[in-house]
Amino acid sequence: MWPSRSRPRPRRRGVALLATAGLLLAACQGGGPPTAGAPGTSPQGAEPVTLNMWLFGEFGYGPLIERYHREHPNVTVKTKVADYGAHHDALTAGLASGSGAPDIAAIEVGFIAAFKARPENFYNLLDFGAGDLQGDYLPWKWQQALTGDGSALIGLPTDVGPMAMCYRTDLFEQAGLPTDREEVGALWPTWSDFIEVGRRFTQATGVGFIDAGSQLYNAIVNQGTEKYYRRDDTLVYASNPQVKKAWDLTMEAIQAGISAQIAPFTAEWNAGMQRGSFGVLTCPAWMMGYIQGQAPDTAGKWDIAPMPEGSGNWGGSFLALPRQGQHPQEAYQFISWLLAPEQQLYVFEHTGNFPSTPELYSDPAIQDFSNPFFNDAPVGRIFAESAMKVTPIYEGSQEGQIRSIVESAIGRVEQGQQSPGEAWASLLEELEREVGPSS
Amino acid sequence: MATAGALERAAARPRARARGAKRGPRAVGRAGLRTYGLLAVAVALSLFPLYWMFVVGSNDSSAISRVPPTVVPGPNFLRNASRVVHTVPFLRSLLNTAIVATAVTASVVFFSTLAGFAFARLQFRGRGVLFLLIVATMIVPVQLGIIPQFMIMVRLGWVDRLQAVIVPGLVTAFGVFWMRQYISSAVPQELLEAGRVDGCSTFRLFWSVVVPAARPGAAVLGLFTFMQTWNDFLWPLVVLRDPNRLTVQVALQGLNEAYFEDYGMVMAGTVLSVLPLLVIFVLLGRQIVGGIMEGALKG
Amino acid sequence: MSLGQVVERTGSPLARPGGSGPRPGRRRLTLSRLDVAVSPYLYVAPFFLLFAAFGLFPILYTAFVSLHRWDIIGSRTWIGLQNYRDLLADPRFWIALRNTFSIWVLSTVPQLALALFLAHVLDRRFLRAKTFFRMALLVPNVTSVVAVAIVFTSIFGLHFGLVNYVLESLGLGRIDWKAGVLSSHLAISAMVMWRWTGYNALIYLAALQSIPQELYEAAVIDGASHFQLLRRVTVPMLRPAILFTVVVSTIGGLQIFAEPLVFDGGQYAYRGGTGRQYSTLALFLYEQGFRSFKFGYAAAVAWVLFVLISVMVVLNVLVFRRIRSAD
Repeated sequence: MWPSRSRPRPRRRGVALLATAGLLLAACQGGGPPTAGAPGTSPQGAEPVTLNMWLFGEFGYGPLIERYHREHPNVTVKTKVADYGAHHDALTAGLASGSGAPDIAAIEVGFIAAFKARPENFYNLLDFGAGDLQGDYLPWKWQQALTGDGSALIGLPTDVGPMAMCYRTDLFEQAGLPTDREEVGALWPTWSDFIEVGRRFTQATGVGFIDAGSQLYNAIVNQGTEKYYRRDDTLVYASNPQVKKAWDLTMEAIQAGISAQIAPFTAEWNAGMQRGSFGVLTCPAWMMGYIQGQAPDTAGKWDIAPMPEGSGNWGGSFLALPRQGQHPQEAYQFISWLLAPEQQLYVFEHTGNFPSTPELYSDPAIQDFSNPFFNDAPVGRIFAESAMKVTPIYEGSQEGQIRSIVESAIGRVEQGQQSPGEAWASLLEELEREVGPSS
Repeated sequence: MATAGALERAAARPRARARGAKRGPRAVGRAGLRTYGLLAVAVALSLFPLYWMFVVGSNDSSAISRVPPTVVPGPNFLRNASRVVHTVPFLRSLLNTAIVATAVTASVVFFSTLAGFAFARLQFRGRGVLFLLIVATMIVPVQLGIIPQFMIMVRLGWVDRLQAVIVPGLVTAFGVFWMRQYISSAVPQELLEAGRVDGCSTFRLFWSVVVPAARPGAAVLGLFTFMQTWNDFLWPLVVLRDPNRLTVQVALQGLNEAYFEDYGMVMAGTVLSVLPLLVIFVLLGRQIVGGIMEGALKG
Repeated sequence: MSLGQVVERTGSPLARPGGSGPRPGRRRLTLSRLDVAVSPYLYVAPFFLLFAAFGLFPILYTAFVSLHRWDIIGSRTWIGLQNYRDLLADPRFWIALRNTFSIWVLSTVPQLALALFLAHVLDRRFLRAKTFFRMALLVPNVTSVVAVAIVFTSIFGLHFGLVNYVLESLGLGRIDWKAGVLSSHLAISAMVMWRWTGYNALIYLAALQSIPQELYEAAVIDGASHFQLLRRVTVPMLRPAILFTVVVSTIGGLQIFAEPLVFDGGQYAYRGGTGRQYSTLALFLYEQGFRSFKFGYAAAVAWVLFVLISVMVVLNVLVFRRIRSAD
């Protein structure tokens, strides 16, 4: 019954057909073991299709892609992993210049608004029946990929980034601090307390408390409901108290000398993580993948505690299908399988990226899931709680660029190039020039 | 190998000159212990980064965070290298680069010899002006035209195609200049005149007289062009994105950016990226040295 | 590979006199005249056509693009010289300009001095293993910039870099090489120097060895001292070689791109450091053109850089002329 994949299908006439396909898919996702679609959905004789997928960072899709290929031998998915910034720029260039975009592209939440502004660059997933999947995903996450008028959906949600605080139990012990996660959480009800703990920690151990100021900043700024934009997409970076609060606390931490000054996402960061050059790390769920991948030798030395002043969301992505792709049908079938709850659960268990499908949060598979790498912390429960507490934060159209400018300013203070005051002034100046004036 | 033989001859000239010259009074003394000491230091500095590349590339990825640092090669090079080729299509990038560099080299050598011959030995109106133009364009940093060049490639639909990196490199002003100088000194006018009298066509003269005589110079030009194309970075970075279409420099930069967590692997990739040229250098380095030194006298 | 074919397919030049055989006649005469008249143009045409299409045209078109607000999808508005006015008011441009010159000077001056010294050492009489030394010094030059930059970035790392390890074991403090203007420029200059010093040394060596012996002999007969030999014979005879290396390093050095890009290595590598302390003009051009996709603005940067390099090269030549005529 599955529409033949070999026949070229005029898109508009195919909508009804596609909707059926979507229904069928949704049905397949209902439950049972996570097999890649129902058997028979991929006729043996189907034309071989290669799907190029662009990712950044750690998505943990490797084994799932292999499984999908085993069950759909005609579909081969090739991935390219690039650096976060380079990835989104390459995608922008590929879309705008009309060639060079992949079949499937990850888009981080900081960039989704920018790409959403040109929905014509992507296949509208609603045309494929994605509407039926809406109930699977967190409503606020879904909204982020939906155009303002609700007519087009440019991406399906991958993970969300509810935050907690990862810390090194061995170093905490060395510093004479408690190591139990409840007690550690109780050490820092507020960010000021957190910085105070950092002082004690650094004094006792001689190594940094946080890895870099920008990591602390991102944790705090993402706890609000708005950061650089108001909900009507006007810029408020200069007047939003949430931004200023995150900035000021970050400056306080840097001046307290508790930053290890290691640029995140570099080789030195990796080395620092292995060597224990810092005691805590802001942990959106996806950070667990980085830690386990980069510092496998530190297994068991980490634990996870709640973050000061509640939860927040940092990061998480979407998978979108650029219009340039020649196989949208196959691509949609693949991503809707890949991002279904079962597969998201698999990714969480093996990599740490947290599902964007709330039905899983109360599922025993999550609730009872603990990770030996993190000292058997019940990471499932910790991040599920954190995720449920998240107040969705509004992400505006040039979020990614703003973030890079702010993080550079923090870096300047850390490296001693500028005082906090100077850095704040030059930051405002640069933002005004690059993205526009703030109200 | 014919090429090697030709190169041998090219390299032989300056050496012969140097050897032939009797050293009399000069502002230089004999090579003594100090000379060798100084050179040993220079050689050590010169080779150390390559050694270091291999040290990191042959240890596991935790080696870089060790204090004191690991300074001897480890046993993991092959494992790291195989991770490189399995994680990204690195071999494909090497192949792409070989294709690009070979095509560019062949074209540059051919067209440069052709034009160099015309400028060196043929009479035609505008010769002086045109040659001056070539000399002038040698100092023009044409790489700076990347914005329109990118637009052209978009228009042609060549983004992510190897021809986008090949075609702009098909000719170089330096190549024409180099071959003109070489042919001027290597092909006697009388020989060509004799050929004319015998009724040879111009192309016949080119093919039967000029090409054989210009072989040594062409070979050196070919080597330089090949190495330069192999190491090109900015333009391929702009115009290539598909992981299967990258040249090795772009692939290496991407590897370094995206896989920072596995530095052993990144460094193994770095070693792989320089290995082909190093092999060529070990085989033909003598000729390359000769080419550079001879080129210095002509330029 | 066609280079091989080109080389392989040889024939003794005049082995077959007469070529296609005697066939005198008017037709043949016209043909041969045509051949003589047209061939030269045919032979130089490929170069000029290809160069015009992919070299000259883009450079000129860059100037045209720079007069527009022009984005990647090709929508454009004529804005005259506005991009240039913006550029002159843009602090990022001035920082990049400063850095470009600073890195260029820091890498070129010591590099050429060192190369001259090395050439002098290599020129010693009865030096053994000549070829080995020359090759060993040239190896860096065949190593690609990206590879060089990756290795040096790791060597200059703040926490786990080799240089800082050595500094610390000597009791000196660590240096955050990326943090400072001067320190970052030094680190980047080290990459450039490593790659080019040996090459330049060979150029100088060739020049040294080409100095006719008679000049020295004549000078010695005139009673010249060692220093005078150097001053009166060696240095003047080296002038063309020095001019050549200075021009080459000007053209290359002012376009420096890969080194600062890789040196940063973080998420925002194209900035050239948190405070743009090692952003260069080429990096700024790339950032504006292929990260922000402001083609018009990037074209203005390209054009300014183009003019700058041309002016610097002409200046080099003029200065050398001046020195020569002053002698």
